[in-house]
Amino acid sequence: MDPHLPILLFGSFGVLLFLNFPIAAALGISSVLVITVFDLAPLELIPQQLLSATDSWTLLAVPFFILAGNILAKTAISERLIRLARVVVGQFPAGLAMVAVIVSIFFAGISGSGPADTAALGAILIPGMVAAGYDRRSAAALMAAGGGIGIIIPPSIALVIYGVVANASISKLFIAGILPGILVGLSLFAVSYLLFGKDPDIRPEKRGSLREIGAAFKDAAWGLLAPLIILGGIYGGVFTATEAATVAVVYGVIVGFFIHRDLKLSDLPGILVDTGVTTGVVMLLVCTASLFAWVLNTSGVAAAAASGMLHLASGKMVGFLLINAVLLAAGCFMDAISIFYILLPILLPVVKALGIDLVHFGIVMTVNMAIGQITPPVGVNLFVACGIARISMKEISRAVLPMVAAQTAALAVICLWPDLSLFLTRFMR
Amino acid sequence: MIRKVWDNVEEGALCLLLFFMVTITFVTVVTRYVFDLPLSYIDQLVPNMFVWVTFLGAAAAVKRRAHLGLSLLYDLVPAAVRVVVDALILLGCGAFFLGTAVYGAKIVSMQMENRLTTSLGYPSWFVGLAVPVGSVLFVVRAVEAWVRHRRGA
Repeated sequence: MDPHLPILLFGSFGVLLFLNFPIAAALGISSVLVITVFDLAPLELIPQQLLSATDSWTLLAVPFFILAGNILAKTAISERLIRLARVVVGQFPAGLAMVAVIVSIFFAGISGSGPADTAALGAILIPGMVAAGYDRRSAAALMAAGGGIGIIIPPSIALVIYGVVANASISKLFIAGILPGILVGLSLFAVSYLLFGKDPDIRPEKRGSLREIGAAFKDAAWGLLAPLIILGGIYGGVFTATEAATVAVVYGVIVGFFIHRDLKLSDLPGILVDTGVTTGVVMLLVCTASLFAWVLNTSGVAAAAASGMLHLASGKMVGFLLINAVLLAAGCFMDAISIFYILLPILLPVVKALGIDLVHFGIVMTVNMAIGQITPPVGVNLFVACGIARISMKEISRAVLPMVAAQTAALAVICLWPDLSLFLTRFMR
Repeated sequence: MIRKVWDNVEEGALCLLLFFMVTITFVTVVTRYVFDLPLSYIDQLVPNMFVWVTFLGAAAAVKRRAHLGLSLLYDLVPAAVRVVVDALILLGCGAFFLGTAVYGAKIVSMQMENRLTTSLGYPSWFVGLAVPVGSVLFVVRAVEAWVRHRRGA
């Protein structure tokens, strides 16, 4: 391998990235540059590569889960879940913060996107927390961190992409994400208690009566049922992820039109267009990033980088430390999809050589990506939460530090305790 | 009227495609599990439509400035520098996507000459066409957005 090749590949990508090029275009341009300069393949390969990356039955789960999330967001399921959580745990110290975390966990079981969760729940909970006396910056930071659980607990677009790139079972990844996602939620509970538990400015919620709890539960039941249907079907081996996503769409349509009746026929075009645009953003990244990954593999850069890493990492522990450091740093600057495609060709041989389970590693990597969504300068959830709370990136970047610390602690546990991820997958059919 | 249609080409197509994709897939799920009758030949049609959604959705995302980027340095530089950077981005993306359009069109003409068909019987170039069409639309929408931005809209 020509030593100039990786320099040109990563160098041109880095320059374009910092020039504010769309990341998808930066990946494509730097790949084409290397393919032409080093004569790796005829240029006809490029459209073919883009085409074959998106012509995939498995990746269909991506638009369908985005669509299901968009439909369920319109049916006010988030409001109903929040109301239920408020009457049950709102009375405790830092009650509304606990509500935010619990609802983030449940909503993660419906939606598969961090920014979408932050937007849907934050729109209600950030103003609610501010009104109850919570610090505006910390409330926004907590919602952004809660949104990150959305990509750990299934359905998850990140896990679908990991499964495709690493060639791991998406059904197993989905089931493996459940307990680690809850652990990340528990770490946010701890932070909330420390930050808000003794804050004299916060007014506690009034205690809900049994009748109120019953009514709120009945109201939220259809929302609570959605994750059970999606996960139950996958767990029992009834559906693949793509099929589960379609079932979730139809479930959302039925609940929206016939049960809650807050979805109108005139809402559908807007929902479909939004879904198409988000799909275009995600899938164009998938296309050009897979071209980039092809260059990494064909040119031998991936193999060389992997053997370099293996040289440094003498055992599982050092390997995990090294890999997590790379992933956390990458997460500060790039989105999850590009990271999966760019780093997995390099990391997979390392992970296999170290004897780390591919499903377990998928969860480790995805938790890293969830942390990446709340680390500045590029933390997609932070942007969303800032917009809702009307604060600056600078303010939220400081307020989110305790949440980043808590999630990193959870990440360490998830790394060192593979059974937390793998336990539930052992009973799958 | 023509203006309105032109401005919403991608959106209209996205609505129809996604609607049919979900419907067909759901029907397939039902026939497979309820009637134990797999319609597996349809498994190719929906991913083929997905290719179109990807490329049309990418063009529609240009209009909404929805593509992800790292604006860390961009936000720090003075407005005059941003004008130059914007032009660079337009040129770079334009060159890349016009290139994919040209080579994508070559693939399409090759598929047409060889009369390749998918297992469902429609010509393969129906699918391949998504790359040049989407790429050209991407560039056109980027130029339109750039002009609008320059005019201060």
